[in-house]
Amino acid sequence: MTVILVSSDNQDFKVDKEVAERSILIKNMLEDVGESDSPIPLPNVTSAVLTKVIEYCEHHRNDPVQVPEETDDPRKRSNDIEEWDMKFMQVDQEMLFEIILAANYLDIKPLLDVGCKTVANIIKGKTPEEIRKAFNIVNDFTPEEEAQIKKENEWAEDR
Amino acid sequence: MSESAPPTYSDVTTSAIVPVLFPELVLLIGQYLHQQDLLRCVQVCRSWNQILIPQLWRTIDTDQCAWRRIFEDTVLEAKRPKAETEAWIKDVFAKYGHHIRHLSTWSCVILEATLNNRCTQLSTLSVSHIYQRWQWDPISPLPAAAPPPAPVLPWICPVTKERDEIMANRNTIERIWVLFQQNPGLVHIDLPYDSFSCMGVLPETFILGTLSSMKYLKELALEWVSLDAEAFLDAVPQLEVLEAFKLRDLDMMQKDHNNLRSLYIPCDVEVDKLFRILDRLPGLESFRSNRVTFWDTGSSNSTMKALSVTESTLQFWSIKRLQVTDLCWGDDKAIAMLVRRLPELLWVGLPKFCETYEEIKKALWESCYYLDEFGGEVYERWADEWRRRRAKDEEH
Repeated sequence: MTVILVSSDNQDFKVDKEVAERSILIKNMLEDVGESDSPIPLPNVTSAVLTKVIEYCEHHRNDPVQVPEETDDPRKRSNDIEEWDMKFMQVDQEMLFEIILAANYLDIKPLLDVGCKTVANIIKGKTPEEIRKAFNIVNDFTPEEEAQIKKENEWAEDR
Repeated sequence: MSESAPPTYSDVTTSAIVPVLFPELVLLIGQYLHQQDLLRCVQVCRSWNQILIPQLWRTIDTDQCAWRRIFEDTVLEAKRPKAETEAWIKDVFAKYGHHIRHLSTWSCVILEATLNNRCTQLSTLSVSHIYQRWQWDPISPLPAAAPPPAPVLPWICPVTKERDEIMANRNTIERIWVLFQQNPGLVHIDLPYDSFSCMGVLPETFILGTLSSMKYLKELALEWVSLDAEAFLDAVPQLEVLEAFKLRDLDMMQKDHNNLRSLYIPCDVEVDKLFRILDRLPGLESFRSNRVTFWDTGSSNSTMKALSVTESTLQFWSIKRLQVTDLCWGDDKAIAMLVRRLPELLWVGLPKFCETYEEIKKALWESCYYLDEFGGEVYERWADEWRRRRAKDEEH
């Protein structure tokens, strides 16, 4: 059985139901609507992004349902990304953010995790200035504030 | 984007359409960052600071990050004046302490700062080596009027010269108990013995009363606290993971306690007692102890015989993991007897021992078909044997 997804720029994507249902949003929609051929509009996702997301869902169509990680201790969290996902995420930053946002909107938890891990890996080891540069963020702290934050959180430095 | 070149037209246009990281996403990404990286992130801009400060302060572990260095600089090296460090800790805890969910420390000063700033959201508290490692200025008694109110601890031990050493800790203990009362949401408490060897000075009813008010407590390590086992498990019926070896009459319990999943008794336990303990804990999945012994090594043969007869009907179906950390001559028989009652065992960990384990292995082979993993290097080949056996069975 297939379903038709419509991107924000009005392109139709025909995909297997099983693949589309990697998205909890779509899965719930299909359950609510019941048997129906009407296309599903996804006004928040462009065709370029939807192509990528479908590629991900196709590859992971047979994955077992993920048990959410209980731990909120970052030391116990793994930042490992499997090889296929790593390659999949080798896109420009704009696309990376778009994929994360789409995964968030479509409720595809494993894709959201991989996206966030990828961004976390970009941040790792960078100085605040390098992070600002990487994400195009303006520093809105005064030098005094910056010094204060550094002093207050001195304990979090590397040994 | 190249780092040194001035921004070109295309850079500017790209950056203009790069979507901003939404606060929710920054929060999600923060979960994958360690504290050193979070520290840099909170310096990036105001919005990141606001979003990630709670994440940075979520876990305070004085064995991690730069805490140890800060304490060493202050106490051992005298690079920082004590008053300065103390004031700094007080200030930052006043500002950020309410974000802390997991606190692990050996420092009285940290404990004091946590207490005074009403950290009421703790879900994990781990206190150890409280007075041995860092000889800070002796901590003062809790001021009676100042918030939080001093607890009325019913000390059963008067301060005498003999008990001085124990009672030197009195002020610290009071703080820990106030922290308990201040944090009803605690899920995990870890109080190893050297911070709590003085617990004998508090009456059992007081300890049980306080514990019974902690409805979310799931994991508890209370090595040196001597309590009646049944009364204790009645006080915290929801408890799932327990580490304790001063529980009295653990083998004399009259009713079942269903929620305990994991039990660690860091001492020797006699196999016949162990049967009686396990019989009252039908939900137990994991058991760990130092040694499993016969109560009388002199007549181990007759004991074993008696045991095989009287306890032969007992089977503990729920137990999946067994670990014994110490082994002496003759223990292999007791362990063999035990594993014969554990048909669902998946994992077994035994210490390295120069004698052969033939007795244990035979019992495992006959009773524990599904064994999958063995702790310790000597057992690698055992695991292979078990796997081959099951593979063979599947063929047929």
